Amino acid sequence: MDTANTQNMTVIGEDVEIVGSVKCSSSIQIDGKLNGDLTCSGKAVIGSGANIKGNLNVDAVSIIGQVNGNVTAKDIVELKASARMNGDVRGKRLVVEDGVTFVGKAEVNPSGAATGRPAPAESKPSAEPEAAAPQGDRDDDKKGGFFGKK
Amino acid sequence: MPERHEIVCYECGFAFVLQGRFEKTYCPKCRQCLTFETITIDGVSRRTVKTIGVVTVTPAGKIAGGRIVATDVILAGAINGGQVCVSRRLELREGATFKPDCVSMRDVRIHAGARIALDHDLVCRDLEVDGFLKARVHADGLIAVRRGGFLSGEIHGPRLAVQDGAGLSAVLDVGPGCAPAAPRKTSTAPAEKPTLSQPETRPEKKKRAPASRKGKPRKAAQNKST
Repeated sequence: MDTANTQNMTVIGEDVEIVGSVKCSSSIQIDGKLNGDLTCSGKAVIGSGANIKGNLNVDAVSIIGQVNGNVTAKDIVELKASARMNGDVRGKRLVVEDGVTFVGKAEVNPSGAATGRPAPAESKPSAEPEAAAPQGDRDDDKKGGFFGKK
Repeated sequence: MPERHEIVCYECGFAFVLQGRFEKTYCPKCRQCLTFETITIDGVSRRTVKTIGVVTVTPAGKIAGGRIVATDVILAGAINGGQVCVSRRLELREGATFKPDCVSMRDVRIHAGARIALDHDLVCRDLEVDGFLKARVHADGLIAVRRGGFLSGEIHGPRLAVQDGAGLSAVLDVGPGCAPAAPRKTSTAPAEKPTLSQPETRPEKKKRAPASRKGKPRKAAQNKST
């Protein structure tokens, strides 16, 4: 994360309730209530006491509280153990910790290739390319990762 | 440290732990002799196999009948008939196919590089995805998608963990209050475990005063003297 963004982080306290949309170009941390959409060009942190009723359109988001709406991220979506997500999640990467409550749909494909994802009705035959194997397991020896080494 | 083995008796379902190397052991509960064998099936099999070890079905292997009872099963071939009871984990490798009515297992692991697409519901306790899986998953425990893995379809269960780098394209119903919709198959253990027969009602024992032994010689004393 850019240091400029961390320095310009906006914090909405626990006792704040916002009705309406919020737009920001830097990072934001919401610990209060938001009844509306959030559009953020940086990283958004939804605190443990936060309650969002609306859609999130962010670069990256870390959810610790509750979100009732859809989340669209350009990069990573993190759902921490106490997160409660009620809606759809779409992003490049997804990290879900054990303990999350998640009701909705998730669409995350970090490799970006056709790794056998069910073909939509308007495109691609059902035959899946053999070469489109998951690439991440080759890197497992180098990195420890969340689950540790295999 | 010697290797630790979690063993489930394939006769009574009693679970216990042993350390070290052994070829045979006895169930502490039913005293059944349990063999620890690693068996490989690389052809058409209709035999009955019972082991507390691992059964591997190679890509050329096919289980068409009989009964296989094992702690772990590594499946790269096909299970088209018979009955396969896995007391712990079923590992699916590339090319694996099975009929849901023929297999009962506790945990499932999708090996890295495997590409599995199931038409039926996958009911298990824990699911670990290192490869590609497309299925309707109903789990009692933890569904873990590791880096490089991809899970598609539907997910129902109390716990989900997704590692950074994993793919997910599914409808989710995950949380502590989410119970799996499909009934879960039982594991290797028989449905009815042997229990000691006990009467439903016990007559109350009345305490009575110990009889006096004055004048009556003890039998033990008589035996000793003779």
